[in-house]
Amino acid sequence: MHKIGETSTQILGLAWWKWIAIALVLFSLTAGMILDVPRLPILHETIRNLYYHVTQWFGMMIILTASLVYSIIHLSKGDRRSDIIASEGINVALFMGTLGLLTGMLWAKNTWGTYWTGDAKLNGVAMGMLVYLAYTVLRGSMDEEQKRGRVSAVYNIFAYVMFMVFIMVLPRMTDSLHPGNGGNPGFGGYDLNNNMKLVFYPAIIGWTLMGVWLVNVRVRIKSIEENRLSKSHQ
Amino acid sequence: MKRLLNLLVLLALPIFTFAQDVEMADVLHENGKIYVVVGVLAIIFIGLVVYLITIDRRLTKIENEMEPKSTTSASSGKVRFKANIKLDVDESELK
Repeated sequence: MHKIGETSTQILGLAWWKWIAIALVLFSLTAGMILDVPRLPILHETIRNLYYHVTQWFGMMIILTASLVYSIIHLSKGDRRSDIIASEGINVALFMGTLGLLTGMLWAKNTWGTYWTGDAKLNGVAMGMLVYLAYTVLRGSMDEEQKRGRVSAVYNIFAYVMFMVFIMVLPRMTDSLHPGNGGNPGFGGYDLNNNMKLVFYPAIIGWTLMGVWLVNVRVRIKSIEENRLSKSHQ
Repeated sequence: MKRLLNLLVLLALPIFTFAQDVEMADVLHENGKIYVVVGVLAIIFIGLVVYLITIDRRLTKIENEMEPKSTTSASSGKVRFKANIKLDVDESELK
Protein backbone atom coordinates (compact mmCIF):
# COMPACT_ATOMS: atom_id res chain seq x y z
CA MET A 1 0.00 0.00 0.00
CA HIS A 2 1.41 3.38 -0.91
CA LYS A 3 1.06 6.77 0.67
CA ILE A 4 -2.05 8.77 -0.21
CA GLY A 5 -2.86 12.42 0.30
CA GLU A 6 -1.42 15.82 -0.44
CA THR A 7 2.24 16.47 0.24
CA SER A 8 2.76 20.14 -0.70
CA THR A 9 2.24 23.08 1.66
CA GLN A 10 -1.39 24.11 1.99
CA ILE A 11 -2.89 27.58 2.19
CA LEU A 12 -6.52 27.69 3.37
CA GLY A 13 -6.81 23.96 2.86
CA LEU A 14 -5.54 24.05 -0.72
CA ALA A 15 -2.04 23.36 -2.06
CA TRP A 16 -0.17 26.62 -2.66
CA TRP A 17 0.40 26.09 -6.40
CA LYS A 18 -3.34 25.70 -6.96
CA TRP A 19 -3.83 29.29 -5.80
CA ILE A 20 -1.17 30.35 -8.31
CA ALA A 21 -3.04 28.46 -11.03
CA ILE A 22 -6.29 30.25 -10.17
CA ALA A 23 -4.63 33.68 -10.06
CA LEU A 24 -2.78 33.24 -13.37
CA VAL A 25 -5.80 31.93 -15.30
CA LEU A 26 -7.99 34.68 -13.87
CA PHE A 27 -5.33 37.17 -14.99
CA SER A 28 -5.23 35.69 -18.49
CA LEU A 29 -9.04 35.78 -18.75
CA THR A 30 -9.34 39.43 -17.71
CA ALA A 31 -6.12 41.09 -18.90
CA GLY A 32 -6.24 38.96 -22.06
CA MET A 33 -9.61 40.44 -22.96
CA ILE A 34 -8.85 44.03 -22.00
CA LEU A 35 -5.23 44.80 -22.93
CA ASP A 36 -4.40 46.08 -26.41
CA VAL A 37 -3.50 43.63 -29.15
CA PRO A 38 -1.89 44.19 -32.57
CA ARG A 39 -4.29 45.15 -35.35
CA LEU A 40 -4.04 42.44 -37.97
CA PRO A 41 -6.24 41.77 -40.99
CA ILE A 42 -8.29 38.52 -41.01
CA LEU A 43 -7.45 37.82 -37.37
CA HIS A 44 -8.86 41.02 -35.82
CA GLU A 45 -9.73 40.44 -32.16
CA THR A 46 -9.40 36.66 -32.52
CA ILE A 47 -5.66 37.10 -31.98
CA ARG A 48 -6.66 36.93 -28.31
CA ASN A 49 -7.29 33.21 -28.83
CA LEU A 50 -3.53 32.92 -28.47
CA TYR A 51 -4.08 33.20 -24.70
CA TYR A 52 -6.70 30.45 -24.60
CA HIS A 53 -6.43 28.10 -27.59
CA VAL A 54 -2.64 27.95 -27.89
CA THR A 55 -2.16 27.60 -24.13
CA GLN A 56 -4.27 24.42 -24.10
CA TRP A 57 -1.75 22.83 -26.48
CA PHE A 58 1.22 24.11 -24.48
CA GLY A 59 -0.31 22.73 -21.30
CA MET A 60 -1.03 19.42 -23.03
CA MET A 61 2.55 19.08 -24.27
CA ILE A 62 4.04 19.98 -20.88
CA ILE A 63 1.83 17.41 -19.13
CA LEU A 64 2.68 14.78 -21.76
CA THR A 65 6.37 15.46 -21.11
CA ALA A 66 5.81 15.03 -17.37
CA SER A 67 3.93 11.81 -18.10
CA LEU A 68 6.91 10.56 -20.13
CA VAL A 69 9.26 11.32 -17.21
CA TYR A 70 7.01 9.40 -14.80
CA SER A 71 6.87 6.46 -17.23
CA ILE A 72 10.67 6.34 -17.26
CA ILE A 73 10.71 6.53 -13.45
CA HIS A 74 8.21 3.68 -13.37
CA LEU A 75 10.42 1.57 -15.64
CA SER A 76 13.46 2.11 -13.41
CA LYS A 77 11.75 1.84 -10.02
CA GLY A 78 8.68 -0.24 -10.78
CA ASP A 79 6.53 1.73 -8.32
CA ARG A 80 2.78 2.02 -8.59
CA ARG A 81 2.51 5.74 -7.96
CA SER A 82 4.51 6.91 -10.98
CA ASP A 83 2.52 4.51 -13.16
CA ILE A 84 -0.73 6.08 -11.95
CA ILE A 85 0.62 9.63 -12.45
CA ALA A 86 1.80 8.82 -16.00
CA SER A 87 -1.55 7.36 -17.06
CA GLU A 88 -3.71 10.05 -15.44
CA GLY A 89 -1.44 12.66 -17.01
CA ILE A 90 -2.28 11.26 -20.44
CA ASN A 91 -6.01 11.29 -19.61
CA VAL A 92 -5.90 14.98 -18.71
CA ALA A 93 -3.64 15.78 -21.67
CA LEU A 94 -6.18 14.17 -24.02
CA PHE A 95 -8.91 16.28 -22.40
CA MET A 96 -6.88 19.46 -22.94
CA GLY A 97 -6.10 18.36 -26.50
CA THR A 98 -9.82 17.93 -27.18
CA LEU A 99 -10.43 21.47 -25.90
CA GLY A 100 -7.57 22.63 -28.14
CA LEU A 101 -9.09 20.90 -31.17
CA LEU A 102 -12.60 22.28 -30.58
CA THR A 103 -11.40 25.84 -29.96
CA GLY A 104 -9.04 25.57 -32.95
CA MET A 105 -11.90 24.46 -35.19
CA LEU A 106 -14.01 27.43 -34.12
CA TRP A 107 -11.09 29.78 -34.72
CA ALA A 108 -10.32 28.20 -38.10
CA LYS A 109 -13.95 28.53 -39.24
CA ASN A 110 -13.81 32.27 -38.59
CA THR A 111 -10.37 33.00 -40.03
CA TRP A 112 -9.47 30.29 -42.56
CA GLY A 113 -13.12 29.79 -43.51
CA THR A 114 -13.45 26.13 -42.65
CA TYR A 115 -13.59 23.94 -39.55
CA TRP A 116 -11.01 21.51 -40.86
CA THR A 117 -8.43 21.64 -43.64
CA GLY A 118 -5.88 19.15 -44.87
CA ASP A 119 -3.29 21.17 -43.00
CA ALA A 120 -0.28 19.11 -41.88
CA LYS A 121 -0.54 20.34 -38.31
CA LEU A 122 -4.24 19.51 -38.02
CA ASN A 123 -3.96 16.01 -39.42
CA GLY A 124 -0.76 15.48 -37.48
CA VAL A 125 -2.34 16.35 -34.18
CA ALA A 126 -5.37 14.18 -34.97
CA MET A 127 -3.05 11.22 -35.54
CA GLY A 128 -1.06 12.07 -32.44
CA MET A 129 -4.19 12.05 -30.31
CA LEU A 130 -5.20 8.69 -31.79
CA VAL A 131 -1.79 7.35 -30.76
CA TYR A 132 -2.51 8.41 -27.18
CA LEU A 133 -6.08 7.08 -27.36
CA ALA A 134 -4.51 3.74 -28.26
CA TYR A 135 -2.52 4.06 -25.01
CA THR A 136 -5.73 4.15 -22.97
CA VAL A 137 -7.14 1.20 -24.94
CA LEU A 138 -3.91 -0.77 -24.45
CA ARG A 139 -3.93 -0.01 -20.75
CA GLY A 140 -7.55 -0.94 -20.34
CA SER A 141 -6.95 -4.30 -22.00
CA MET A 142 -4.59 -5.59 -19.30
CA ASP A 143 -5.54 -6.73 -15.82
CA GLU A 144 -2.21 -7.75 -14.42
CA GLU A 145 -0.82 -4.70 -12.66
CA GLN A 146 2.95 -5.13 -13.13
CA LYS A 147 2.64 -6.04 -16.78
CA ARG A 148 0.17 -3.24 -17.46
CA GLY A 149 2.52 -0.72 -15.85
CA ARG A 150 5.57 -1.81 -17.82
CA VAL A 151 3.88 -2.24 -21.22
CA SER A 152 2.07 1.10 -20.99
CA ALA A 153 5.25 2.88 -19.86
CA VAL A 154 7.18 1.54 -22.86
CA TYR A 155 4.29 2.43 -25.18
CA ASN A 156 4.19 5.93 -23.68
CA ILE A 157 7.81 6.52 -24.74
CA PHE A 158 7.01 5.56 -28.34
CA ALA A 159 3.76 7.55 -28.30
CA TYR A 160 5.59 10.67 -27.09
CA VAL A 161 8.17 10.47 -29.87
CA MET A 162 5.47 9.88 -32.50
CA PHE A 163 3.31 12.72 -31.18
CA MET A 164 6.19 15.18 -31.28
CA VAL A 165 7.14 14.10 -34.82
CA PHE A 166 3.53 14.49 -35.96
CA ILE A 167 3.03 17.97 -34.57
CA MET A 168 6.50 19.53 -34.41
CA VAL A 169 8.53 18.01 -37.25
CA LEU A 170 6.23 17.02 -40.13
CA PRO A 171 4.24 20.32 -40.27
CA ARG A 172 7.54 22.18 -40.62
CA MET A 173 8.52 20.09 -43.62
CA THR A 174 5.42 20.79 -45.72
CA ASP A 175 2.98 23.63 -46.21
CA SER A 176 0.95 24.62 -43.19
CA LEU A 177 -1.41 27.43 -42.33
CA HIS A 178 -0.19 27.49 -38.75
CA PRO A 179 2.20 30.26 -37.76
CA GLY A 180 5.71 28.94 -37.33
CA ASN A 181 5.15 26.04 -39.74
CA GLY A 182 5.74 25.39 -43.42
CA GLY A 183 7.70 28.57 -44.05
CA ASN A 184 5.25 30.79 -42.17
CA PRO A 185 6.77 33.04 -39.55
CA GLY A 186 5.87 32.17 -35.97
CA PHE A 187 3.60 34.40 -33.91
CA GLY A 188 6.77 35.78 -32.34
CA GLY A 189 7.96 36.89 -35.76
CA TYR A 190 5.55 39.70 -36.45
CA ASP A 191 2.88 40.28 -33.89
CA LEU A 192 3.71 38.90 -30.46
CA ASN A 193 4.56 42.25 -28.95
CA ASN A 194 5.56 42.72 -25.34
CA ASN A 195 1.99 43.49 -24.37
CA MET A 196 0.91 40.06 -25.57
CA LYS A 197 3.84 38.27 -23.98
CA LEU A 198 2.80 39.82 -20.67
CA VAL A 199 -0.41 37.80 -20.85
CA PHE A 200 0.72 34.83 -22.96
CA TYR A 201 3.48 33.48 -20.70
CA PRO A 202 1.50 33.68 -17.43
CA ALA A 203 -1.43 32.11 -19.32
CA ILE A 204 0.73 29.12 -20.32
CA ILE A 205 1.82 28.57 -16.71
CA GLY A 206 -1.71 29.10 -15.37
CA TRP A 207 -3.51 26.75 -17.76
CA THR A 208 -0.77 24.12 -17.36
CA LEU A 209 -1.15 24.28 -13.57
CA MET A 210 -4.92 23.91 -13.94
CA GLY A 211 -4.24 20.73 -15.92
CA VAL A 212 -1.81 19.56 -13.24
CA TRP A 213 -4.54 20.18 -10.66
CA LEU A 214 -6.89 17.88 -12.61
CA VAL A 215 -4.12 15.25 -12.76
CA ASN A 216 -3.63 15.67 -9.00
CA VAL A 217 -7.33 15.06 -8.26
CA ARG A 218 -7.49 12.06 -10.62
CA VAL A 219 -4.34 10.50 -9.13
CA ARG A 220 -5.71 10.89 -5.60
CA ILE A 221 -9.05 9.31 -6.53
CA LYS A 222 -7.23 6.44 -8.25
CA SER A 223 -5.00 5.92 -5.18
CA ILE A 224 -8.03 5.71 -2.88
CA GLU A 225 -9.73 3.26 -5.24
CA GLU A 226 -6.65 1.06 -5.38
CA ASN A 227 -6.14 1.17 -1.61
CA ARG A 228 -9.74 0.17 -1.12
CA LEU A 229 -9.28 -2.71 -3.58
CA SER A 230 -6.13 -3.98 -1.88
CA LYS A 231 -7.84 -3.77 1.51
CA SER A 232 -10.86 -5.72 0.33
CA HIS A 233 -8.55 -8.44 -0.98
CA GLN A 234 -6.85 -8.87 2.39
CA MET B 1 1.94 55.39 -70.70
CA LYS B 2 -1.39 53.87 -69.70
CA ARG B 3 0.34 50.61 -68.93
CA LEU B 4 2.82 52.39 -66.73
CA LEU B 5 -0.02 54.12 -64.88
CA ASN B 6 -1.78 50.82 -64.37
CA LEU B 7 1.41 49.31 -63.02
CA LEU B 8 1.87 52.21 -60.62
CA VAL B 9 -1.69 51.87 -59.32
CA LEU B 10 -1.15 48.15 -58.94
CA LEU B 11 2.06 48.68 -57.03
CA ALA B 12 0.41 51.25 -54.78
CA LEU B 13 -2.50 48.92 -53.91
CA PRO B 14 -0.88 47.36 -50.87
CA ILE B 15 -0.26 50.82 -49.44
CA PHE B 16 -3.95 51.73 -49.80
CA THR B 17 -5.09 48.51 -48.16
CA PHE B 18 -2.65 48.97 -45.29
CA ALA B 19 -3.80 52.51 -44.83
CA GLN B 20 -7.31 51.25 -44.11
CA ASP B 21 -7.74 50.69 -40.43
CA VAL B 22 -8.15 47.11 -39.42
CA GLU B 23 -11.56 46.58 -37.86
CA MET B 24 -11.43 45.96 -34.14
CA ALA B 25 -14.04 45.92 -31.39
CA ASP B 26 -13.41 49.57 -30.66
CA VAL B 27 -17.02 50.43 -29.94
CA LEU B 28 -17.23 47.75 -27.30
CA HIS B 29 -14.15 49.11 -25.62
CA GLU B 30 -15.34 52.70 -25.89
CA ASN B 31 -18.67 51.88 -24.36
CA GLY B 32 -16.84 49.97 -21.72
CA LYS B 33 -19.10 47.01 -22.43
CA ILE B 34 -16.22 44.61 -22.97
CA TYR B 35 -15.99 44.60 -19.19
CA VAL B 36 -19.39 42.97 -19.05
CA VAL B 37 -18.01 40.04 -21.01
CA VAL B 38 -14.87 39.97 -18.88
CA GLY B 39 -17.10 39.89 -15.81
CA VAL B 40 -19.09 36.97 -17.18
CA LEU B 41 -15.88 35.07 -17.94
CA ALA B 42 -14.54 35.78 -14.46
CA ILE B 43 -17.77 34.66 -12.77
CA ILE B 44 -17.87 31.39 -14.74
CA PHE B 45 -14.22 30.67 -14.03
CA ILE B 46 -14.52 31.50 -10.33
CA GLY B 47 -17.62 29.29 -10.14
CA LEU B 48 -15.75 26.38 -11.71
CA VAL B 49 -12.79 26.94 -9.39
CA VAL B 50 -14.96 27.06 -6.26
CA TYR B 51 -16.56 23.79 -7.38
CA LEU B 52 -13.13 22.25 -7.98
CA ILE B 53 -11.94 23.45 -4.54
CA THR B 54 -14.90 21.79 -2.79
CA ILE B 55 -14.17 18.53 -4.63
CA ASP B 56 -10.50 18.84 -3.66
CA ARG B 57 -11.33 19.44 0.02
CA ARG B 58 -13.81 16.56 0.12
CA LEU B 59 -11.07 14.37 -1.31
CA THR B 60 -8.60 15.55 1.35
CA LYS B 61 -11.20 14.67 4.02
CA ILE B 62 -11.62 11.15 2.63
CA GLU B 63 -7.83 10.73 2.47
CA ASN B 64 -7.50 11.78 6.09
CA GLU B 65 -10.24 9.38 7.12
CA MET B 66 -8.48 6.52 5.34
CA GLU B 67 -5.04 7.31 6.70
CA PRO B 68 -5.33 9.46 9.84
CA LYS B 69 -1.55 9.53 10.35
CA SER B 70 -0.89 11.51 7.20
CA THR B 71 -2.96 14.58 8.08
CA THR B 72 -1.06 17.18 6.17
CA SER B 73 -0.59 20.39 8.04
CA ALA B 74 3.13 19.69 7.72
CA SER B 75 5.06 21.66 5.14
CA SER B 76 7.77 19.12 4.32
CA GLY B 77 8.49 15.45 4.56
CA LYS B 78 10.81 16.09 7.48
CA VAL B 79 8.17 17.77 9.60
CA ARG B 80 5.60 15.13 8.78
CA PHE B 81 8.08 12.48 9.91
CA LYS B 82 8.35 14.23 13.27
CA ALA B 83 4.57 14.37 13.55
CA ASN B 84 4.42 10.65 12.95
CA ILE B 85 6.86 10.01 15.77
CA LYS B 86 4.72 12.09 18.10
CA LEU B 87 1.67 10.05 17.18
CA ASP B 88 3.58 6.84 17.85
CA VAL B 89 4.63 8.06 21.29
CA ASP B 90 1.08 9.03 22.15
CA GLU B 91 -0.17 5.60 21.21
CA SER B 92 2.44 3.84 23.37
CA GLU B 93 1.56 6.04 26.32
CA LEU B 94 -2.06 5.10 25.97
CA LYS B 95 -1.15 1.46 26.13
